[in-house]
Amino acid sequence: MSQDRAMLRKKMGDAKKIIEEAFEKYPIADLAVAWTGGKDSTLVLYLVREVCREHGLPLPVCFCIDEGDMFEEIREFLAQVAEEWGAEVKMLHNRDVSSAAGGQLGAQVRVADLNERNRREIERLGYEDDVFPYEPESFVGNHLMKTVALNSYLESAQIRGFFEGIRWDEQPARANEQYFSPRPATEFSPEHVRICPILHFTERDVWDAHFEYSIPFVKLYEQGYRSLGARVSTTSHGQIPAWQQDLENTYERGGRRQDKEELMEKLRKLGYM
Amino acid sequence: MGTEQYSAAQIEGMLEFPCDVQRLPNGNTLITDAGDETRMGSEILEVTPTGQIVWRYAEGLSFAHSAKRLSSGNTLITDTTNNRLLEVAPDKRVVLNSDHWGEGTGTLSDGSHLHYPNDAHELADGNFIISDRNNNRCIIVDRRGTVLWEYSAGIAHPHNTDMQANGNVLICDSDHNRIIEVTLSKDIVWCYGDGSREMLNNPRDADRLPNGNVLICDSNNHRILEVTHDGKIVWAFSVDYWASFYKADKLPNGNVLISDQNHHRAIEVDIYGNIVWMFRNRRHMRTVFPRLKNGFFKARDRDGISTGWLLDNRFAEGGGEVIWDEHMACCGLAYDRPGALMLVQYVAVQAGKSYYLGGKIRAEGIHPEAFACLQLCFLDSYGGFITNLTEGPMGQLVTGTTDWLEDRLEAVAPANAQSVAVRLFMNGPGKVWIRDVMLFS
Repeated sequence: MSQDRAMLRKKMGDAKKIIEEAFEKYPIADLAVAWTGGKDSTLVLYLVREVCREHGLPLPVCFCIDEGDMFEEIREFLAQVAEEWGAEVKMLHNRDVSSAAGGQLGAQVRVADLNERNRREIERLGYEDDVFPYEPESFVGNHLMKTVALNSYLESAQIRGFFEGIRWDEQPARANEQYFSPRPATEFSPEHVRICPILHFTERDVWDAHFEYSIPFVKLYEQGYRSLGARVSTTSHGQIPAWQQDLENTYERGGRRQDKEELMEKLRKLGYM
Repeated sequence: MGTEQYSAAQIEGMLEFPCDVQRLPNGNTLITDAGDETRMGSEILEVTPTGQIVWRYAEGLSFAHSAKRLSSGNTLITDTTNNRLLEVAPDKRVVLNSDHWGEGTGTLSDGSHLHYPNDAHELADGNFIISDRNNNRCIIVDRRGTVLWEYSAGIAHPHNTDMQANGNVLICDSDHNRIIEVTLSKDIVWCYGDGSREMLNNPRDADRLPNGNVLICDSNNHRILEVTHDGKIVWAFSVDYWASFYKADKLPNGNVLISDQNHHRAIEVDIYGNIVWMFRNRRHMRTVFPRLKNGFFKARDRDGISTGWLLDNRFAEGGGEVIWDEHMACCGLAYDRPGALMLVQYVAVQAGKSYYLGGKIRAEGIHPEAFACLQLCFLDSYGGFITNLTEGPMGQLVTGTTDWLEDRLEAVAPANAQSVAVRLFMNGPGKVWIRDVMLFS
């Protein structure tokens, strides 16, 4: 147990080093923390705050993307923790899209009713229909409500780098992420760097950190939610608190690891693939 | 197959998917091209050392896997998805066609039919030894289809069976990741491979060398091995790309002739691994679009395939078709057997950039052992896949019957990527539908 604790302390220390490195590279005013209210980004904010306290620095601004279908519990959690920790939180919301939908989830949005920026983004995706449903978790919805909201903010607030809570063990696509992940400027987003201090944490480590360092977390995790997204697409895995679930053998976003592995095995048997 | 696009079949001698390679006594090389991803353009080529095509046979071939020049000067061909064996004369006259066996039914003396034969040799007595892949057996038959010998005990999807000089038979038991030597009385007297993919991964060729060692084509580990009788590796040639080598032959000069399927070429390497000869004659005939085209399936070609897309049925073993749901304006695949069926489109990419693929997918009665998914497979400048399917980015795997599911996946184009194959993949019976497919970076 104490060995585990020492390992966790080391991982926390390594994460802080990444944050310190970021503070050496960029002025605080150019940095931000992407805070979703989830366990991972709350841990990141905790670590950033610790480093700031140790070095007598002000806390960078936090932002949270409101994709239009937020859990009320998360909104309350953000407000409460922000006040406790003295954090300034900007809520990012693509209002042009939600107004065009009359704020109604599932409503049909006419592309022609959107502003030029959003219309260009839809064109970029290759979306071919004249209307799309206002569903934050659909491909179009996700892009407009999350990516576009984020890029617009980075541009207007002149943010050059932000901290985020992604981890290598989350999904295979994350396996090659770097602590400092530079994003070149494109037609649609300014040049910036994504700083990922807890890449090396497992889901289990994140929970251990929350309990070891008394870091607050939103109550939804107690009700069995393991990963928090928009309300419609987030499901509870029974009433077992997230940290008591079989973290090692199941996927954070649903489904058993074993099932996928079995399918992959069958696929490998095709040989030529 | 997407007739609005050009295909390899339109250029004679274009080498798409080399399987068998054989160096002839006259110094030329006989190459079996299984054809392009739509199973067009399968042909047998004889090329000179300077790359001239001096003989070609293509008539009616479908995914042919092997061709052997016989001492008579004729050529013995396994015409794989036509499930037949052909012997053709230099003037292309067919002198033997296994379709004529069993009074024109193609059946063998034991009542069976060749199923996906992938290799055949003529023995000294004029009989043939054949790897009959989908019947999971190796057989010796005479010229009238009389089965004289069969080995099927515990082997799966065999490839490239050889009769050794000592009278034993060397078999690539591909699905079991091993090479076995069996006597004609069917005792296994030698084996290499413990079943693990680390040791051998889908081996598809093995030859007993005059020095007693065995040269093995370890396809999915992208390497060629020479192992001693007691299992020690004494030589290896390996590459860092998804080569999917199909066959390797040791030449009298000590070099090794290899078919490098994924890079669409036959190569000869020396013992140090230098490529000393190569035949490559391939252009990527399919359109590589600057961005995904017709992901909403609003346009359709005359042949019923959605514009911009191709039906990739190379591994579909003769099955599979594109289906349409007029009402929903969506497109899909219907398939009826094990194998792999794909709807594909090639799109140009920039190395190092992130790509996001999104779309909706719906399964309809997909067999519980099978699944379908959207995926991205990056290609390098040789037109070869950089990773195999199981290593590449995939969306949700759907099976059985589902509602429409929102799917998305992201992937970074590898450093050597030039294009990406955007694919809908399925590997067993059932139907899968897709709509609103989008790709952006």
